[in-house]
Amino acid sequence: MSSVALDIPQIDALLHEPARLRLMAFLAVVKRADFTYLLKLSEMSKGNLSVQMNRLGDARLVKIEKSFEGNRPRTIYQLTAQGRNALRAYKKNMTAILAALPD
Amino acid sequence: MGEVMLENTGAIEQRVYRAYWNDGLLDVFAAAGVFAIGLFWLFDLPVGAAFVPAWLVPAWGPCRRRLIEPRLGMVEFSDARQRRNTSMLRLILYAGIGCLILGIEMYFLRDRLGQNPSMTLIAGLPAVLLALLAIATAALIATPRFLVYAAVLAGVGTTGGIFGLRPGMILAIAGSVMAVPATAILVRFMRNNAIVSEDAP
Repeated sequence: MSSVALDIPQIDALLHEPARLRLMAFLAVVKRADFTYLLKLSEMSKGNLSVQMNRLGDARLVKIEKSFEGNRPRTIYQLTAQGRNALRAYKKNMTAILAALPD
Repeated sequence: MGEVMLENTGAIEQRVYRAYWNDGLLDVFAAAGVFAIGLFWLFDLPVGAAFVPAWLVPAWGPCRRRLIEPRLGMVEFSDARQRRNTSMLRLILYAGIGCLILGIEMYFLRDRLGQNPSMTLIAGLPAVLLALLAIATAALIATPRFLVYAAVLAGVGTTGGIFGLRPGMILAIAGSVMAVPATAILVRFMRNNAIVSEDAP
């Protein structure tokens, strides 16, 4: 018996996590933003934000630039082309799955 | 890097963009600008009013970096948004220069028109013209709050004209009235948003 699961598009688990998806959605609509801005916008804790952004950075979906302003550290994030493509694919796949669901 | 926006992200971008202006710094700058132009005019130095934008525009970046960014963070909007802003700001700047030229013309013609009853109403015209700029700003940054400033400028301009106030006094009053909510918004923002450090939690 063939599996119906084969017809369901693969969902990117990295993006499917709600906190990371929100961060990616924010970064998709701006050119770049720093840690403080994302912290305020997402209302996440510093630790959680840092962990999630590092995971996105490790996957090369987000470019991370660390610098100092005076003696204060500053981290700036920017969606990479790979990140945009991943987000676009995620949206396409999720739309396909949700459209196939019965009302 | 290609800056292709994802489809249907307009609503998120619009919300983020609108939130960017909610700290009250632009309000304070607008009020200070109107007040300073009025003050120059009041002391018979209308040409000095031309230097107000030249003083405010360069002050914007450092003020934002010092007061807002340590609390709210830094964000750069898309190239498309920045291009749209630049052309709108250019339009607003040209319109502002037009208002100023009109005001200076009035200033030099005031002795000749002094006996004309319509001159008293014309005194409110610069404030009414600045109200139009406030409406344009409200549209540009999607912030209805600037419509209130437009109403203040138009209201003070018309009333001041009827009561025979000089243009400088009208603008100084309008700027002072605008400064009250503008300062309140900025102070509330700074009180509610402590400086954030990126240091490890």
